[in-house]
Amino acid sequence: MGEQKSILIIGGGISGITTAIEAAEAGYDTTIVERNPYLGGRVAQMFKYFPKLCPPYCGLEINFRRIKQNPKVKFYTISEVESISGSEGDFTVNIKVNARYVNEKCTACDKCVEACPAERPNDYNFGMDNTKAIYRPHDMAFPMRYVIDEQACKGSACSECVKVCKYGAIDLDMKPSTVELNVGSIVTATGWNPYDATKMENLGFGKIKNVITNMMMERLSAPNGPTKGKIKRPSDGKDVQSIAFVQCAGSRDENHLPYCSAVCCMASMKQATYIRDKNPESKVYIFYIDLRTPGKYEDFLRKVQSDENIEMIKGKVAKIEEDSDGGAIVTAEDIVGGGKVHQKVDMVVLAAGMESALKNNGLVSTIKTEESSFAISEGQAAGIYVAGVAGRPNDVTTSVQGATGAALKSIQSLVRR
Amino acid sequence: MSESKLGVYICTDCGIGESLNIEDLQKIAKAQICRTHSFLCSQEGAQIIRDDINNEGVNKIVVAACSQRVNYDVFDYDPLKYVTERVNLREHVVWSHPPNTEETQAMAEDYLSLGITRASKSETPEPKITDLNKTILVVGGGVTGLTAAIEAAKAGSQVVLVEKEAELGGWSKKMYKILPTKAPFAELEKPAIDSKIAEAEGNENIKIYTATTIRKISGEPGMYDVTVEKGGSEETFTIGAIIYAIGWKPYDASKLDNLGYGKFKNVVTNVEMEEIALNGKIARPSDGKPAQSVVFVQCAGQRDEAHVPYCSSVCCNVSLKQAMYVRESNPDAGAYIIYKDMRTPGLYENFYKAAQDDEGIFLAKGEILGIEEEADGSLLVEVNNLLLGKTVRIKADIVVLATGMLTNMIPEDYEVNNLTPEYIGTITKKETTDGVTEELEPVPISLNLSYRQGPEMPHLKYGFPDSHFICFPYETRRTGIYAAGAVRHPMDALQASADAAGAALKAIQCLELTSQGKAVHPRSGDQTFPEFRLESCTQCRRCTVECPFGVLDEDEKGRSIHTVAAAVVPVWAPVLRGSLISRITVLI
Repeated sequence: MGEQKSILIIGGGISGITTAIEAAEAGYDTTIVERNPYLGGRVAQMFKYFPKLCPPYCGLEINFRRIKQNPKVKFYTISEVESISGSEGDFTVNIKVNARYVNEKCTACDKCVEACPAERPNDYNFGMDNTKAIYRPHDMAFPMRYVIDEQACKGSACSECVKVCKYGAIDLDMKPSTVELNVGSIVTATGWNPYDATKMENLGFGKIKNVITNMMMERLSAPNGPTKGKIKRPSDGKDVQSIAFVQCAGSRDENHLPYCSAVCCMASMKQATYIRDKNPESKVYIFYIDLRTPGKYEDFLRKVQSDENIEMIKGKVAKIEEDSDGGAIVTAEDIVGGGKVHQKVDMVVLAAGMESALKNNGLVSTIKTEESSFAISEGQAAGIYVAGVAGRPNDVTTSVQGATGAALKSIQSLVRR
Repeated sequence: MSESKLGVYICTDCGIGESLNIEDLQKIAKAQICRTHSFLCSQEGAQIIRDDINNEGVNKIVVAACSQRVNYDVFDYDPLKYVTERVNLREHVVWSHPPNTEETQAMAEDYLSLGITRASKSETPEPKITDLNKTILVVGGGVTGLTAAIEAAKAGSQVVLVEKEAELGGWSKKMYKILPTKAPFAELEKPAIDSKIAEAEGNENIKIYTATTIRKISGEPGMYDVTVEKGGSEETFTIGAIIYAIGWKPYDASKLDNLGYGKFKNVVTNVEMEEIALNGKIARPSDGKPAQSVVFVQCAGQRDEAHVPYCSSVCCNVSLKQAMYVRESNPDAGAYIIYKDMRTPGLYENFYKAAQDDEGIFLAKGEILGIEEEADGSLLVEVNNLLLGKTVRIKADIVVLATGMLTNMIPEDYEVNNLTPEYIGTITKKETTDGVTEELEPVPISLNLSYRQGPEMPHLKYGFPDSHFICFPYETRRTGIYAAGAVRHPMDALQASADAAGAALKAIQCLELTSQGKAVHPRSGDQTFPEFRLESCTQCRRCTVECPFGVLDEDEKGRSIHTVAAAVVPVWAPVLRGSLISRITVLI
């Protein structure tokens, strides 16, 4: 038997990390390619998990620790797969490694951030605050290494960061590089992006300041978020007293996402507990089509329903309008109670659905997808597998199950050789 | 590890040198090699450590500098040869405490001592079992077990599959058609179970026992002794890890007397509806009359604390599927689905839509108020239709109860909503010298483990044996035993197949790590192992009772026992399961 080939994993979110470390601990070499400057994907942006309401970073930290201790896991951040050729057991993959402008000498001392005069919207917090042009992706980022946003950086004309870095860790002339890898199998774990909420014009996102998305709500509630965990409405910083959750914002809608995103019911109920925990007087209204809390999640539904300050209304939201005092008025038909509801609230959270990150992605020529851009499970080229939400909308635990299975499948491609 | 040699390296950069008395720190280290550097993570600094490794034979490296979150790739030494310990003097001490105080110095010294102690007591991995067996035992021959066996064999493993029934295939063998498994998730598919059975039977790396039960399993990962019984004769063999795929059973519909099951012949369960479909036409059980109208009652017991408190996840899809049977059998027939919430998550929305597009399938959110039988065997179903806001009566030839799934972990005569915590069993009262005490006696189900804690897997709630639900769905308190499929969560065959592959990976991984003497998750990468000073054992039995992983066992007959971990133990003492030890977390 020749040298054992490695497994390429596209995407370093919870699914990709899981596939990599599970295969590595079974004895196989793995390489993760991640577009962000950090690993952890969407999970790294979550405040709590449902149904346990525990911190998602806990599990990520355990996995990062496993990665750090395991020489069989390699990863590239701020990188993209440019091309894939070859076949099972012998794929050639070209990876573009974008410039971080900060090298391995960085000790994460933060002196550069103090010196940097330029700012950029913080994409980790969905633009709800700013970072400097040189920044740490977020407090717990792994790898713990700073990065420069080349769009925001004033370049060598400024060089304030270079001047204060006594370690010589900043290289403003760093260039992107290309890495060619020969791998035996490929796992697609590209995950998802939140559906663009501005597309649903009747819901006012982008026009009404106090209409936000569910992912923004995660950041708004997290202690390392833009408001340090205080749930304040974006327009004027007022403490939120009443909040409406609009389910199926895009999902289950032929004009937007024809499928169900599988997690939003649980996510909104979870977020209802965020505001209820932080503000005992607060009122919550959840507008839904069906409450989808499969399996043991039913216990969580029961728990949320037992809170009298949380009201659930079966009905699709027709429109959201801004009130004169900055609040929002949600109009929906109450299907069970009958009649139209006009509910005034301080803030509205749109349970925006999951869109496959394979949509409009150059990989689609190699990774076969169905009409909504989710990777198909059967019918991929031999040696190419799918993990997590790249395949279909799912929660974390189902994604991790699938990602562990994908680790086995990708190993089979190596063993067969 | 041959000779252990410690090297301690203290970085003085990032404020450490200005805030602490480094000389005093060096004295604490008491190491033969203890160096300081003003920029340890620089190439020059890292080279000092590499030189000591190469020239001085240092193999235990303590880096007292920044958090292990930073520069882990600079101080990265082959864990098979070296023990590396990071002591966080920067974030945990000088960045968060006042400089040059007695307390801050003491804190730094404590952290350093802890790190040195941990490094000293850590060992590079060495196999603890020499004749490790890598065969995987799959318990259960339904879709999950068969998939697990096939997937594990494809990855190069030997597999033994044990099924208690005479026939393989489980519930999948009893289905007329199955839910869509591929995009666009809109059309029913023919069962694929026969080809799966043929694939398993034809695989020379899979040995199959049918009509066989497990009498006893003892041992630990890499060396379980399994005794099985088939037709009265017993056989014993050794295996390395176990995939536990014993599946599910339907909730007993006779407990749903308000829905007329057992009273009216034409009220059937969704399981029985598959039998009807397999027999040909969808016809009434009472008289064989082809069905013109079929009512499906969703959540027949599920989402009800008096019956099955959880949702069974699959029943909405199953009823949609069976409604299509009705329409296929008789294009003039109507199928009515009465639901609480329609749960077709993810891409199964397409399946829901396909059913909605059929003019003969009617869906309504509602509550069943009552079911009555008419003289000819027809049924009158009274429904509070919540969408219309009024009560309607539907005449039906057949009423199908969408009953829920219970894990097969629940033995006969046990209630899913009233199980003893942690281990399924009965509470018995015992007379002791301290008076009457209550004791839980776990019941054997299918594994029959010879473990102190009980013969089966622990459960969290409702009998499901998973131990961590979100980040690590395969985490288990019986290391080496991995549950998969509907035994641990209500799921459809597609998800169960994915789950089976995951469990197979974990079984293979456990054996791989054990063969190298490494700890498995949740301790993977940890190089510390506890040692038990059995000569000081007072036989209090706290350890054997409390260890959640069942690592320690006791010899109740008072004999000395030879084990892997300890050659000879005193008259009564905890018996250690050698490689299971890797699950104990050592706090230092």
